[in-house]
Amino acid sequence: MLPTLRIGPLALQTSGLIVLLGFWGALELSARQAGRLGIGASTISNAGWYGVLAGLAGARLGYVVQHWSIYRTGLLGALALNPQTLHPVAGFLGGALAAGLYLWRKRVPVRPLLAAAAPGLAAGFSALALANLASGAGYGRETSLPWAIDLWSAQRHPAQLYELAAGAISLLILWRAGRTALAPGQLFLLSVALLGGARLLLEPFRANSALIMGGFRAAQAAGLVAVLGALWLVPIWSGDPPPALARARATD
Amino acid sequence: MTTTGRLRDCVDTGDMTVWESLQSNHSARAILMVSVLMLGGAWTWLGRVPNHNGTGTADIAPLPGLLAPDLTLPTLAGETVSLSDLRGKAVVINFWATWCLPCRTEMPALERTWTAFRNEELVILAVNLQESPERVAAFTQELGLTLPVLLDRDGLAFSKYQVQLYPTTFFVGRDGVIQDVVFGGPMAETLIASKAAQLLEG
Repeated sequence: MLPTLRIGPLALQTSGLIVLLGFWGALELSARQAGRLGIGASTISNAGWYGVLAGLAGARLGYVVQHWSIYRTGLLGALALNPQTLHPVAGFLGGALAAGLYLWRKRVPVRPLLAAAAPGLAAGFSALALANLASGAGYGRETSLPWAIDLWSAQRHPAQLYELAAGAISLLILWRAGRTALAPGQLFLLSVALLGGARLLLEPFRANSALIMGGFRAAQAAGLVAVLGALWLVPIWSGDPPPALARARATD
Repeated sequence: MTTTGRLRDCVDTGDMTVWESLQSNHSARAILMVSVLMLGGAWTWLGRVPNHNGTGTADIAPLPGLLAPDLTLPTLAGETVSLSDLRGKAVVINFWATWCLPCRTEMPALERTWTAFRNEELVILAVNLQESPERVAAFTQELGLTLPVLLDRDGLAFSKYQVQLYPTTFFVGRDGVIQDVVFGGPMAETLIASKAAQLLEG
C-alpha cells in the first residue's frame, strides 16, 4: 500500500496518479484498436483528451455551483489544484458531452467506436484495481488462506490483485481478438462479457462492496446482468467484420 | 499439444470460433445463458451480505466510506477528547506539526472555518504529532488559535490513521464514517468550508 508519493515538496496521491496513467494507457490502446477498425487513431485520442479536459472543467464548475455560498467570496479558490473539490456527476456529464459531440461531428459509427473502446475498458479495469491496491481501498474479506495479505489489521484476500489479474487476462484476450475478423459489435460484447464475468466472479471476495436490497452486492449483480446482456445481444449485433481485417483473414 | 499450447494457439491465431459460433448456434447460446444465470445467480446469492444496514460493511479503517478509528487524546487545555463521544457531530481531524510549513499555512483557514461553523455542530480537532505542550502552546498563541488542539504524545493516533504526510485531514460525518481525506496542504479555505458544509448537510 502506497497512498501518497512524495517527490520533493510535492505530495501526489498515488491512486490518482495510477488512474491518470491508466486512462492514458487505455486511450492509447483504444486509439490503436481504432486504427485497425478504420477509425482514425487520432480521432479517439482527441475525443478522450477533450473529454478529460471538459470533464475536469465541468467537475470543478459543478462543485463551485454546489458550494456557491462559500466560493462567491473566494472565487480564486475555484482555480486551486485540488482533486477533492470536484463534482463527479457534473464531471462525467461534461466529459461525455464534449467527447460525444466531437465524435458525432466526426461521424464515427457507434459499433466500431465501442469495439475500439474494448481494450481500453480492460486496461481501465486493471488500472482501477492497481489504484485500489495503492490506496488500500476495495480491500478483500478476511481469510486464512496462505496467500492472504496483511491489510487494515487483518489477513485478507488480495482482492485488488485478483481484479488486476482478471483485467490483464481480459486485456490480452481482447487485444488478440481485435486482430481477428470479429465484427466490431462482437468485440465490444466480448469485452462486456469478460469484464462483467470478472466482476461477477470476484466481487464476493471484497469486504466493502456497495450493497443493494437483500444484501446483494451491487457490482456483482451488475456483472451478472452484463454477461447475460452481452450473450443476448450476440446474434443481434452480428455483422460484417471491418473490411481491412476481413481481407487479411481471407488471405491467411 | 498441451493444454497451455492449445490455449496459446487459440489466443495467438486470434481464432475466436467459440464466440463467433454463438452468433449462429442459438441452442448453444441458450444453454450458455441458462448456465450463467443459474451458476451466476447461485454465486451472487452466496455472495450476499446478510443483515446489512444498507450502508455496506462496518469496517474500521482510515478510508473514505469506512468508520473512523476511535482516538482519545488530551487537549492542550488538559481535557480529554474522544472521537466516539462526538458521534452525531461532523468532525474534521487535521494531523499537523509546528515544523510543517503547509500545516502552519492552513491553520488560520481551519480556525476561521471552526469559528464560522462551531455553532452548527462541527468540531475541528487539530492533532499534533509528538511535540512538547510548551512548543504547541507557543504556536497556538502566535496564531491566536481557539480550535481544540490535541496532543498525540506517543504517536498512536498518527499510527491508527496511517498518516504518512503532513498535513493530512479527515472529514468525518455525523455517523462516524469518513467522507473524505485530503493528503497534503495547505488546503484552501473554500475547500475546508465546502467539505464542512457537506458534512453538516449529510
